[in-house]
Order: sequence, then C-alpha cells, then structure tokens
Amino acid sequence: MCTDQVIQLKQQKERRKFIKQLTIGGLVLNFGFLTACQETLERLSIENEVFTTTQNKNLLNVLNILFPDDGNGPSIHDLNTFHHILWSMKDPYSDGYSKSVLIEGLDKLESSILSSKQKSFFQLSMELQEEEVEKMVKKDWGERFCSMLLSFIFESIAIDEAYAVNTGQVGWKWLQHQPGFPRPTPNDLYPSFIANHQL
Amino acid sequence: MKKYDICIVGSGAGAGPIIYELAKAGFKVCVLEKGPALETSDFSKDEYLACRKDVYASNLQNEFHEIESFSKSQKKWKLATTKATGRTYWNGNMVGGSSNLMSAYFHRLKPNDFKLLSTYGKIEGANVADWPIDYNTLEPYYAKVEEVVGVSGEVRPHSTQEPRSTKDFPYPPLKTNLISEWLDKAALAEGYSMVSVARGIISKTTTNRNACYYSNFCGSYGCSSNAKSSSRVALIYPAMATGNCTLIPNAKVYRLETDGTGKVAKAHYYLKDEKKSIEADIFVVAAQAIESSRLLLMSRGKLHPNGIGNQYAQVGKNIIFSAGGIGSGNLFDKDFSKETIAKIKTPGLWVNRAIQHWYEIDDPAFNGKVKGGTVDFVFEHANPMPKLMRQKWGDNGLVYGSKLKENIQDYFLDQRKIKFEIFNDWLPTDNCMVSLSETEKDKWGDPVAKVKIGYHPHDLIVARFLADKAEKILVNIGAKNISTGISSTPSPNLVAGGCRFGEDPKESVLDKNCKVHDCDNLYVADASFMPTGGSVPYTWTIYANSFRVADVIKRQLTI
Repeated sequence: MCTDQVIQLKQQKERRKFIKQLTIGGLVLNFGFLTACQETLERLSIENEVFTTTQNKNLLNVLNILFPDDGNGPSIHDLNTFHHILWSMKDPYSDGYSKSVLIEGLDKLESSILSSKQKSFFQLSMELQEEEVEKMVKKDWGERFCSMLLSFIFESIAIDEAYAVNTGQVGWKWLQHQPGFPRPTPNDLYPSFIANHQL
Repeated sequence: MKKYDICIVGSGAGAGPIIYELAKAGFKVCVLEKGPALETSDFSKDEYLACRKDVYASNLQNEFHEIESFSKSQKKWKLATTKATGRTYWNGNMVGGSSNLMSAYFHRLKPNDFKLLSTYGKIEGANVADWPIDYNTLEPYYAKVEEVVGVSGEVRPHSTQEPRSTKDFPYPPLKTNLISEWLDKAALAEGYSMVSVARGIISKTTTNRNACYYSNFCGSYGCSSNAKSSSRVALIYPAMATGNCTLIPNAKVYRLETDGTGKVAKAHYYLKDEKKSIEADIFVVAAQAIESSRLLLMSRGKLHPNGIGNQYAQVGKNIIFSAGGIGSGNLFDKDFSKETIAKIKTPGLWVNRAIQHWYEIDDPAFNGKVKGGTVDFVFEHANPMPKLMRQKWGDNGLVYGSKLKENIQDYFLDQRKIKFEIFNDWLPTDNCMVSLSETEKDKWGDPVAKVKIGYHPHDLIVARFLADKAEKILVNIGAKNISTGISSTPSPNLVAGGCRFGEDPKESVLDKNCKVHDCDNLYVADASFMPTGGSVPYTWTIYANSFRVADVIKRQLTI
C-alpha cells in the first residue's frame, strides 16, 4: 500500500468517526443527558481528544464571559456551544486553522495567568476572569481567539438543531428567525453530504 | 471510447442551451462536468452546508486560484493563493453550475451595450471594444430564454426600456413586498420610474416544474421546487429525456488535444483520478470564464504551441467582472405603525425593483455622456449568520458579553435592512487577465489559473454616482443609517471575458459565432466571449448567446 493510500484510509477513518460523533451528539441531546450544568462540568474534567482538562475549563469560562447567561436569550449551555467547538475541531475536512487559533489562545491565556497570578484562569474569581478577558481582547492573539469563539457561538445560535446545537431551536426562537424549507435531513448534513456526493 | 457529435465541457448557463438544442435536434451529446450530479432532492436550506462550509464550491485545498492584486499600502502587485486567503473564486461546482445557486435577477443588455466604444468613445487605459453583433441579433434569443428557460416579470414603461419582440413575459411577476410600492413612489417623486425586475424564477407551475414557493432562501441555495431556472432543471433534464445526452459528472477536463489539421480531436479528463478521453466532431468549452481560458492555455499542440486560440496571445486577456458596490439602510420598527412594519417584515416576498434611469449618464459631473448602470434593491438575505457576524465588531474592537446579546437582539427584532446592489461596467484593462501560474498546481499537478484583478478608476466614479441616486431613494422611503461601500474588489460570481469575440483575430479569440479563430471545431459558449459586460448581472445574456451558438453549431453539423 503506497503512502497516499494509507493517508486516504486514515482520512476516511477520521471522517467516519467525525460523522459518528455528530450522531452521538444529537442522540445525547435527544435523551437529555447533557441538560445539567453539573454533568457538563464532570464531562470537562475528562481530558478529551482535543483539549486538556484545564483547557476545557478555561474555554468554557471564556465562552460564558463572551456570551453570558444573563437572562437575555439562550446561554452557551442551552446552545450546546462547547460540544459544537469540540466537534468542529475534529472536522477532517478542516485546514486546521481554527484549531490552531484556539490552541494558541488557550495556551497564551493560561501561561499569562499562571505567570501573573500563579493560578489557572478558571481558578480566578469571576470578576478577575472578566478583567483578564478584557485585557486579552486587546492583544492580537486574544482578539483572534475570542473572535473565533464568537463565530462558533454564532453558529450554535444560527444553524439547524440537526447539528446538535441550537437545542430546541432556542437560538432561532430568541431571534424570531424563520428557517428555510426544506430543512436538512440527517443523511445530508455536513460532512456526510461530502462523502455521499463524492465532493 | 465512443465518438459523439458534440462534447461540451461544463453544464452551466453557457452550456445548457447547446446541450438542450443539440440533444433535441437528435445529435449525440456528451457533457463533461467537473462537479457532482446533485439533484433537486439533494438541496435543503442548510446554512452550515451551503454557506459556512461552502460545499457547493470546489474545495480550495484541492483546487484554487492565484490572485494578483495591487497593494495600495505597499504600492506593488502582490500574489496570494485562494487556498491561503480562503476567499474562493469558485461558484457552483455541480451539474448546472452556478445557475443552481443564482439569485436570478434577470436583465437584458441594452442596445448601446453592444457598441460601447462607438457610442461613448475611448477611455484612456481601458480596452473597450464594440461587439461584432448587435442587440437585434440577440433579441430573439432573449425571448427564447424567457420561454424555454423560464423568466417571470412584467413590461412596464421606463426611460431605458430595451426593445422586445414579444409583448410581455410568459410568466407573470413574482409576488412583491409592500416596500416595492414604496420604491415605486419614491422614484416617481424623484422624477423617474422604477424598473420592475424580471427573475429567472417561474411564477406558475408547469408540467415538470413547480412555481416559486417563496422560501426566503434563494441566492446561494439550490431550489427545492425547480422554480429557479437553472441550466440543470430547465435544459439538462429535458435534454437527458431525449436519450441523446450522456452526462459524465466528476469529470475534470484538463486538455483538448488537436490533430494534424488543428481541429480538436479529443477532450482529456480526470474521472476521479483516472485519466480518460472523449472523441467528438465538435467541442464546446463553457467552464466559466477563468477556467475556460485556463483550459485553452493548457491545450498546447503542434499547431497551437501557446494554447488553442492563443496565436496572438489574446486568451485570458480582458477578463471583466461587474463593477459597483453595495449600500443599505435600516427600516426601524419604531418609525412605522405595527401593521406596516409587520407587512415589511413578511418573509419570502420579493422586492424586484431597480433603477436604470442612469443606464446612460448625461450629467455635468462627467465630461459628456458616459455609460451608467443598474441599481437592484433587495432585502438582506435571510441567513442569520452574516447578521450575527456583523454584530461582532464595534468602534473599539470586539463586542462581547451582555452588550453583544443586546445588539444581536436589537438587530434581529427591531428593524429590517433594505440593500441595494450597484452594477456598472467593469472596464477591460491590461491589468485584468488570466494566465497559468508559474508555481502553483492543483491536486492533479496542473497549473492553476493566475488571475490579475486590476480595475479602472472610472468604474468607481460611475458607481459612486449611482450610489448617490440610490441613497436618495432610501431616504425617501424612511430608511435610516444609509451607507454605501464602493469597492474595487471584484465579486467572483460575475466573471466574463478572457476569450472575447470579434472580427479581428489579432484582437480577439473567437469569431462572431463564438468559434475559436484558429480551430474550426471548437466553440467557447460561456461568458468568456463578452468584450464588455453591460451594467447588469449577465446570466440572461449568457443563456441567450448560448442559444444563438447552438443554432450555429446545428447548421455546422447538418452541412
């Protein structure tokens, strides 16, 4: 088997896994396993394939500052944004740019807090975390990082709940958005669509 | 390897009429389409798939362009690949091409568009040329597109109405929003009439196609009722039904091979990664302007050492886009009654209004009469993502937190945005052209197209003039926050030229019938033939010209 074939097989395997994870994400939502905050935090304590435990916790805290649960509209938890980011990071068709921006942001955030406060970002008080995010968005890397996170948050508001986000159309309802018809079917979601049509 | 009467590279608006006419006439037609054979049932209104992941365009990791643009800050031309920038120059990569995804604002060109040079004179630094045919030659084909491809609209008198051979459109106009009436009144108050815009979308059901169902998600999406007049639905499906048309999707043509007489003998293509070829008596290239030039340049042979049609180094020259810009204003809930704003916010209904009163400008601001253009009015697209993304940045950088949520909510709930799109001639210049990249290759190892995207400053002056007229209209209807962005960055969904047609082989690639001057059995039938693009979206003209070329090819095949 030549190198190209090995790479191709590896990519196919990764794509199958990615599609499966989307399905599991959807099922999990359907059965309501991720409806309690506590469960989400427990899940974050387990290192996943993309981020370390600390990165998970820092990421979730930054997301909640960028898009707070302030009584106006849905929360990050309602939108399942964290799951969407994890899923997107494993997109086998991605050029890897968004992943590199997030990893860079999380690394720089953690190292700057560790050196100045001798703690992880998530261990700071909420007030201090907000101050640090305010400082972070003024730096090039921080602005890039937060801008990318906002794009993921927006996706979790705007795209079809079939992607395991926008749970119960909570984002659409908030904005009184009327989706187009027909809506996507499970067989033709990204990335299955690419595989199904040999794009 | 089977021999066909005709082999067509591409299946979009430039290819469809030839496929349809030749198959119906009993000729054996083979279509080589780079993209997949998506069907109507494959399309949904999935924003993630269609817009965020751009799956209908070619994957930039596999195929891309090299763009050469002028950096004002560095005062020099700079190269960048679209693979690196992520700004795609691909449109619809599928059977039927980008006609599947078009917004389908259909405008005819006007008589003066065919003789820009002789009507308005030379513009220094621009390679403006008259067309070798006139409006009257193309008019019957415009009428044929209305009937066969399907165009809805209404004939209403206005100052620049183009001549017609038929009284009215075969399909009545689509339903419009209350705002269309406001725009009509606002224009009358300014002393002219608003144009009722025709659409390549049918408004009544036919045997094979359902009428528009006002999905509110049209441009960038495939149509689920077959109302949109794509080449696939209107022309290729009927051609396939004749039994004379063989469609080969996922077939990327990389070279046309010529024989000892200089005629094309074979089209070589990749079917996935396997190399294959097709023989035919006549070949047509309609792969969209940039790729058609690229294919001709890549098709070198003994009699065509620099590529077919390129004996005088004209292939790829004078690429044009559509000049102009985009403006907008907000209609805020608080400025209107509840009943009125509810009507304005009704989703799905069209605006379908345009200004063409300044299609020719006779104004002291210019030195004599100059060519003007069109301003189409549209509502902001229903896609929520771009609306959300717009809230990300404020005057002091990123906006986040509760303030962001408030801004989002205000934008979605308290207003509706009305936009206008300006279309004026992108003047052809030596700085806008296609060649083969010297360094960048696609996934098959072939050189990618290098596109130089220089513009003429006159384009921006005309666009600004038109923007001022459009902004006045928005003021008259009560819009706020009115602004316009005039841009020299081309929109990649309207690209033409590169193989312009003309009488003189030293200054053109194609003759007046769109046959390549130095190749007796090769035609180019997409927008490549256009020496100038008119001041409108030119899809209707591509369809019409392709019907005209189909008649020429039928005559050649029956001799």
